Amino acid sequence: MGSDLDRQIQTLLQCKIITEAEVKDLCLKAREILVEESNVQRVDAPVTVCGDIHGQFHDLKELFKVGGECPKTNYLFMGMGTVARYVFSVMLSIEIDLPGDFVDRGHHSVETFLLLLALKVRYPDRITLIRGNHESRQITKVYGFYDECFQKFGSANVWRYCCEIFDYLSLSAIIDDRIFCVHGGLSPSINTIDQIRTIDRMQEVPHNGAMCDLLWSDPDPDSCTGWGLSPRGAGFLFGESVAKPFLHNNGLELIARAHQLVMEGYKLMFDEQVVTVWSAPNYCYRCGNVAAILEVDSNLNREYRIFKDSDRSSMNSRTNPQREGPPDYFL
Amino acid sequence: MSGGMGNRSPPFWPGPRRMGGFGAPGAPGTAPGRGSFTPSMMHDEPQVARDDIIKGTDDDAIISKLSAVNLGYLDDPFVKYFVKRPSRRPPLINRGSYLRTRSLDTFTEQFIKNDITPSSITTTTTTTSPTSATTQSASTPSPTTTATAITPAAGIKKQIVSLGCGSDTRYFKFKAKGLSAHKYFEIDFPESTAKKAVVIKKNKAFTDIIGDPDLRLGLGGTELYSKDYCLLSGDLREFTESIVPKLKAQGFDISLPTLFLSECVLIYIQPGDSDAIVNWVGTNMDASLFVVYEQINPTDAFGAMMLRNLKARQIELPGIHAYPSLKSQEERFTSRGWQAAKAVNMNKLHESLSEQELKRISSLEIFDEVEEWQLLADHYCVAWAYQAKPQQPEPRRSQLIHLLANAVSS
Repeated sequence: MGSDLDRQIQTLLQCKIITEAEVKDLCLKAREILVEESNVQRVDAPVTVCGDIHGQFHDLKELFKVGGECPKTNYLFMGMGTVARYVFSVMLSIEIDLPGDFVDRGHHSVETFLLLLALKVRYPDRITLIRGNHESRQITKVYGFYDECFQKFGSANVWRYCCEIFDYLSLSAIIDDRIFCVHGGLSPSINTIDQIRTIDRMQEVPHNGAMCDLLWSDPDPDSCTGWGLSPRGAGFLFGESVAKPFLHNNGLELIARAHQLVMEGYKLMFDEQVVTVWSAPNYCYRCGNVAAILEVDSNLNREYRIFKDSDRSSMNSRTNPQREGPPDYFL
Repeated sequence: MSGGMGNRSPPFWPGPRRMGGFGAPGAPGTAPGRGSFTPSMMHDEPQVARDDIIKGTDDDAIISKLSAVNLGYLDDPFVKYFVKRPSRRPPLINRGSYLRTRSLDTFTEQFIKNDITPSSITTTTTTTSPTSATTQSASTPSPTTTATAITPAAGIKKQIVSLGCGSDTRYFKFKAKGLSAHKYFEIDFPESTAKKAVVIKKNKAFTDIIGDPDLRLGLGGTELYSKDYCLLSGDLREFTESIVPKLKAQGFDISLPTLFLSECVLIYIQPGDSDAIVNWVGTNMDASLFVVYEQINPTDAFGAMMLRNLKARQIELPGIHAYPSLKSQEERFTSRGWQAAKAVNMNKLHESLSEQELKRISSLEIFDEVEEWQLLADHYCVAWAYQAKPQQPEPRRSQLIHLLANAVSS
């Protein structure tokens, strides 16, 4: 890979955008790599498993500090959370008021996604990206990524290139045949890993069906019946009585997933056979949570590393925070 | 936002002994000796800067409400008049704006609609009000005291007082639907009321609803008076000394059942000052219902971050540590002898939505913020309480209590 790519990575690492032409080129290269990946991407341990970043760019850098730089550390991201959700839409309106003083908080979905993508292109075997429910046209439009692209590039082209890439992203991964990684969870339409392999994933995330469920479902510790309706309006709630047979039948020992904010960074359920890993500390600069990454060593021993939000993204370091639009509350 | 006046008007709140509650000690605008508002203060630059910040949060909040209206969460044709630049808010904020408005609307509507009827004296109702109220209202009035009973046919007059009304449009929204109280008073700081008065006075949509040819501005355009609607300017920290006389001058009647609304207001003033309001209402009103919407749970991780983030906007919540929980929100009233009090968080209110209504709002936009919503909703509560003065004859008192209990039922 050329030095151009390294230069782009350096630019993105400084939280600066690359040109639209470079994005286009990057996406073309990414496509060539991702199209070869399976719906259930095979990953070898050791690997560090992460949840969504949600555009919290400086916290991604913190994550790399805690977990090690890529490619030195092998990474698996279970979704990127390509939107910072509401934080961003609030801040956009403030930016219009206050040009030139709008820096580095929460709305760096573009830089975050492109950095991960550039790393993927540069080190395809050292970083695995799987699709989360936010990597969709609909969600990125509602939750601000579209606006962010428009704002930063002056057109929707970059958003369009990124959305095309979303469709190429793998749906899940398996570490050493033992740890199943997926953004959301299980689906009533899926009993075996092989069934996932047969999904035609090159499409926008559908509103229902197996592909949708993998990206949207949540484990439900209170469930005694197996499947339940999700309050999110997509995917399902799955209980222990569903998760354990799935693991057993597929020769797996753990389901690792992201998707849900947990204040402690990670949460084990169902006799430690399902884990939620949340990697956006102080989510949206509002939730006060810590974040976690899961380090799986070559013997599949698991260790969770907890980290807090980086100083740069912390409100404490702000000299003039109101100009940068702190998160919303009801006042 | 509506009712958010407290958060945006502290610079106008005089009384040096109380100013310490806003901003860090020594922060601009909190210097001791900054007394009542005078025009010269406008030239105090840090003060003005702080005003702007606080005004910004108000605009922000009204925009949120309009966003919820525009998306179909709420039906309110009046909000748009207060917003210069509409903007779509994130789903979580829309849902919160909707739920809080809906909840206070429900109390208001039930309060206006309920009347004293013969049946109300003898039936026991109220499922949500846990305390003695139910028992009291159940007691059959003694025939010898019927002289003091309220005549059902006349319909009982009621008042509403909106503390720190901000740009709230509840009076107009309800009257447009044919629901109005005998008197509706709104109180906020002069700067807020002046802005509001202008919008109301110059828009037919508002003056038509008020429907009073004698509608007039007062006090340099900071107040509005009409037959059933009064917009008054003042400082809630001087409730007894200055607000009450103002209310009375406009026909406020302590013998009428009165609904007091505080939407994110009491929490912005020192507990001593908010307690003074609750005390005054509890000891002076024949019958009143108090509804409070505000933040709670300041000490968990989310709550601590909330305080830090608000502080970064130079917004403090002096009242939150005095009433940090649902229980203490109830005790704010019960410890002062109110008959019944109840506080629930926003999650509970959300759960109480009918399946049909939940389906309706779920169809308005994607809502993928389930955990954050639960966290946020856990830090806001609606508390309500009612009281009827003991020193009044039966069965009138029982009737009044029953009326109030009905307003908070279901």
